[in-house]
Amino acid sequence: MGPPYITKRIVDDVIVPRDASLLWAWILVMVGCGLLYLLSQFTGGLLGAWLAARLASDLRSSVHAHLQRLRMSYFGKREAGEIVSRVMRDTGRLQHFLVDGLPFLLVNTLWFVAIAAMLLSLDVQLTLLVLLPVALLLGGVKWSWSKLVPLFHKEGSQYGGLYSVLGESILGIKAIKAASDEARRAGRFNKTNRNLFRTTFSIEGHWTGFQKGSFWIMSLGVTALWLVASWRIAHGDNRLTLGDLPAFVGHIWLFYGPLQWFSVVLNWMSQAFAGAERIFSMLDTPQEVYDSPDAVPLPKIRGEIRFEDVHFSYDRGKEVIKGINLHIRPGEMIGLVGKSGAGKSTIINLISRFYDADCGQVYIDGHPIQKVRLTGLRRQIGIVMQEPFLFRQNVLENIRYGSPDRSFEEVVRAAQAANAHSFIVEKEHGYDTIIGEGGAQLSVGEKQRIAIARAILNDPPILILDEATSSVDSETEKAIQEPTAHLVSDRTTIAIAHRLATLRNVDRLIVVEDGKIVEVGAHDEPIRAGGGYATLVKTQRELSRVRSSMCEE
Amino acid sequence: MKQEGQRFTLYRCGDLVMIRRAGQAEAVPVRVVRARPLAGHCRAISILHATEKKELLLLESLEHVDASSRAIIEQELARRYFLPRITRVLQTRVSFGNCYWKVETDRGPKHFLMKSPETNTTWVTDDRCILRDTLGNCYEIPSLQALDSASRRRVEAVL
Repeated sequence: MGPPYITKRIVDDVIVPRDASLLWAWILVMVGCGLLYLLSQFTGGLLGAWLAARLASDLRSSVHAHLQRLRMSYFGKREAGEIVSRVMRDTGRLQHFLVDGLPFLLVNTLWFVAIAAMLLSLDVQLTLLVLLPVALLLGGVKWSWSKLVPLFHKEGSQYGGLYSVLGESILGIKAIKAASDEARRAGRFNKTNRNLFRTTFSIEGHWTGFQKGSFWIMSLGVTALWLVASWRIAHGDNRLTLGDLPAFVGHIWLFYGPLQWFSVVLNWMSQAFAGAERIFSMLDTPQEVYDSPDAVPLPKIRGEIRFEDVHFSYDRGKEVIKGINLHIRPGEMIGLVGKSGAGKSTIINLISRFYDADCGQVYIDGHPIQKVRLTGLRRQIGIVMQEPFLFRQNVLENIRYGSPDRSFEEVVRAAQAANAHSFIVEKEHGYDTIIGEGGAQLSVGEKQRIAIARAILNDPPILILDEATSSVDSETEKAIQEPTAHLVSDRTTIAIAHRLATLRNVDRLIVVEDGKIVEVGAHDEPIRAGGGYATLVKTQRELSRVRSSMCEE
Repeated sequence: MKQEGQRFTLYRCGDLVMIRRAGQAEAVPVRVVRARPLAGHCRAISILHATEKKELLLLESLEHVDASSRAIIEQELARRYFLPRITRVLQTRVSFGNCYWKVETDRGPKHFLMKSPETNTTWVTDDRCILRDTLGNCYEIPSLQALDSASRRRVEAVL
């Protein structure tokens, strides 16, 4: 506010009376005002930046921590890209608004009020003239807000979709190339990208319309000011000096400048609000119930599992487990077979309590699993999956995942038992080799052996082999069989396998069909019974015969 | 893991390192590697078959190894894991994604070029990292915090 006032004083006290005695004093005051302004802006900016970066960082951590504890069903219904977009992009937008927008909004609101007061002290009539466009601008803000916030929501969802397509294109590059599907894939990306383009264009269009419109409205205010002020000076109005006119024009731009920037802040603010709504909708999603109030710690278990009339559905009305009764004795090895979608993996999900049964009860060593502490339960269940997930850390930490306190010597022993040690020490950095996404390339068999070493090290009383050998060739399967045999001894094991030959050593086979257990018995009993399992075996033998005859040709 | 009780002798045969194990008439060529080369300790030394993907011995330490075999193992490890330590960083400059380093190491001054620093840096801990240049040579920053503040600033500007 200082410079326009000083301009007035220089015109009225120095230029009009042609007296330079006060000129240097006013110039020094002007420089001082500039320095003060710079200092306040710098300090304010620095504080704002720290506060916003801290807030965004804390928010990202909270969202990530919350995400880790959400129910499995949440992840089943959402794409990874959408979740990544919420954690990173929406928090980023909120940060951007908090760093740049909020301090600007606060400082300029004060600025706006102060200048309005200064203008009123100069001339009330001209000030009212200047304030006239503000009413129009407020209407414009309301209109833009109602248009922009839904558009930013839409843009956020579309970014999520785009991240998902991009993620799939990178993770699934081998499948895409193998199917020569690059062009179709590019087409799919372009379609999602075009939708995003339309939304972004629409946002920019609305915003540009508002911004340019508001500038035009403000310029009307300036024109009106020149008209009225010049008319009054020309007609000898003594209340208005010649110095008042440039002072007023200077003030008016200090007044309209922030107003013009409010349109930019409005854009950031609507983005931030849309982002915040998306973040908070995630934070408001109920978390997995880790421990009910009466949950008790689960002691070291023997590995007995019992299902009593268990029913379960992922989507209401579509039951996938239809009243299962099952008793698995401690140390027993069970083979779970059935067609895809029969409910095998759902049984595993219920044992691990990734989902809770709709009715009926699952018991571990006689404890209803909803009445025991979840972390204690999961620590006693080991899962070797079809595609084991390795984290982006070194081999040692990957094997030690779940048992971080185990010594290097114990890790080596587990790796030796899993037939993994030799290939690990062959790597340039041995156990220090970084693997996982962006790390060293491992074959499926090598990954599987690391997963088996992890399971051996964890030493869980219940082990689940979820198609652990179905994605490897027969040679790798042989290499895995030995450590797997070592792994399953003396613990309750449930193995799901497509290759029925791999289930030869199980104590009992359980055949699941359409969410029900239809056959139970030793390996050859269900074959002799001639039911669904016998058909499955027959189909697989036929397939093997066709494959070997094709190879011979 | 302890296998040092197993008797064996290492000897050189031209460029090859051979092992002869007690009770076995034939010697076989071997490679000597560390199981954890980045861990910064001398434990867990693996003696691998030179051509087959097979580990012959895993030594927890060299304590019970005879003097001549130990000397060969130490020479092989020193050759394989030659890793100059960066003591000062005089300059770092990024141009078109390439990172130019001018450093002082415990083996003398060195200029080197890294391509995409984010993929050619292995962070062993939050404070310790290994840099790999375009020729495949590695350099260690044993402790970022232990570097002088100017060096640390230059490292943090590019990593």
